[in-house]
Amino acid sequence: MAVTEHRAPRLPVFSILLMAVFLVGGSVSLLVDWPPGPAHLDWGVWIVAYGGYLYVVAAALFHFRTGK
Amino acid sequence: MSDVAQYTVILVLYFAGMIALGLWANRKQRSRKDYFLARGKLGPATLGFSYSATQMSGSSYMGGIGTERVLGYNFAPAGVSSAAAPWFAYVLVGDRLRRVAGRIPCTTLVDVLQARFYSHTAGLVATLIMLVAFIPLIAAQLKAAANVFEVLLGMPYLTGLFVFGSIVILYTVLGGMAAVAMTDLVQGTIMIAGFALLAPVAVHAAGGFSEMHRQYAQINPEAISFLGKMPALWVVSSFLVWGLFQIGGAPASITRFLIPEDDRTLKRAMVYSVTFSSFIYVCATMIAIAAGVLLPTLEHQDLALPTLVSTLLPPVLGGVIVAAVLGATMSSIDSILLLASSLVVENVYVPLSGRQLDMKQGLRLARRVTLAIGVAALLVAIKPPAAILWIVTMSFSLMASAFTFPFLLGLWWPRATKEGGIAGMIGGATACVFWYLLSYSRLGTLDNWIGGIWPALVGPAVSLLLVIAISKLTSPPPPEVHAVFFAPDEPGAIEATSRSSGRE
Repeated sequence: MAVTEHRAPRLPVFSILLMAVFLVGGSVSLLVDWPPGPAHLDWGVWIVAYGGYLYVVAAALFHFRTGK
Repeated sequence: MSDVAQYTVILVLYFAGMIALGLWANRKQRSRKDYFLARGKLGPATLGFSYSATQMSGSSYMGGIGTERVLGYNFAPAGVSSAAAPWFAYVLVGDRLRRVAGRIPCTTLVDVLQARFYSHTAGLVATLIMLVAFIPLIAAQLKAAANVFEVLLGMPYLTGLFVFGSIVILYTVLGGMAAVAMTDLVQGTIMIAGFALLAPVAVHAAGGFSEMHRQYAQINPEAISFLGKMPALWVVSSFLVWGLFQIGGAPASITRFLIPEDDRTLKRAMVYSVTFSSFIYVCATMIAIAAGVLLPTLEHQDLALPTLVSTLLPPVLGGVIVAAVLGATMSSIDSILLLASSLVVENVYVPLSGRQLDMKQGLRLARRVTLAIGVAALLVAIKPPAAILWIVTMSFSLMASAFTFPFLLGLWWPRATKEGGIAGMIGGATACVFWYLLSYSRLGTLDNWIGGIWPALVGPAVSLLLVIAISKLTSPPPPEVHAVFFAPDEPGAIEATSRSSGRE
């Protein structure tokens, strides 16, 4: 059996894209000087430190439903 | 009834329940593979809760909340990232590991690495790194539990350590993976109940969500946003590290991927894991900020949570939180203990002794080794290490550096070779240790690093480069390895080749 007979398996491309958005978008968001938001917190905290959880749960549900 | 008596009654009931689960699981064991893995015997909820409960540990509660009380929102991205960890791990390695576990006779992750890198050396290197990292991890978890006993029950450290340690070791020895996963499910449920109770009470006591943040900003102005208290690269590194690199950094959790036999169970388990982790970490952030307002002068940061509990809640309700904290600690210790003993039995004793064990002998040996490692860990914890979180962080960093990319590339890239895999593990671990030592020599601390860059970022980067470069320079893996790891699902064709996949 030749080595080249077995190709790399198919990657879950869409989930990997969502992961890249999470990691790159999240990292950049941490460095931005955000304007003040509600409850004495800036918008960055609301988006990353609280909204981040919703993003992760939604992304997991997406993978569960589609397998992509 | 006094406060201490009420705490004691709740904890005794809780511990009795855990031991009963161990006894129940004990009756189901037939072989050491049943004991270490329980393949195909766990449902998605048990699997999902077990993954996350193992990942979170006492450090998430005691150390994590204590640290976030001081560092505030500088540390919050690490929580979001930790909640994302099951998503990364399930999607990137979960299904690949599940398929491989169906094709080769494997009980541990080291079996998978050994088969993929067709080398006993790869297995021994992986075993050695994991065992080195596990000793401080177990000691840190035992310390976390004994601290809870100290604060809430006024029990001397050593008494708490031995009472708690004996119970965890007992039910792990009795029930193996089935007991560990079932107790994780119960403990995870208690964690949710405990945090659902404490978070609103703590926020309310601190004046409500908005007022709590106004006060926190006055007390600790550098910690009310992402940057200020710690360097920017430290904050970004912590966000990057705690999610993706749990693939290599949390082998006790990743072992769960060897258990399910079908893809749907695995995916449902992922949803349970991510939802559970997200709930716990968002509550932990609010509790930590509340602790910053309510306990601004507390000196010992690991005691923030138990002090908050004893201050805010009546003992009956506080007992639920304590059970949750101890549950988190227990679920980590039992999983690490089980993984450590499976490594010693499956990857050290059996191959080196060359003995063939029948089912009864194998099961007896597995239990004895689990007991021996448990007792050894208990003895190590007599002289407690310093801050819990940073001990856990160091162990995590070492394993993340050694295993993340050998796992990822080994499962997805057919060209990865044994030389590349071994170099990636050794090089990643060495780079991590080197970065810790270099940073310590410059800054005099183990919890901040040159430029704020985490060792768990440096080690994996070196490991990635080594796996790719050395694999490109060496001969491709043999066809039988490709057949096991990359062929489409054809069980008949795989069986014949899988037996030779661990050859040197």
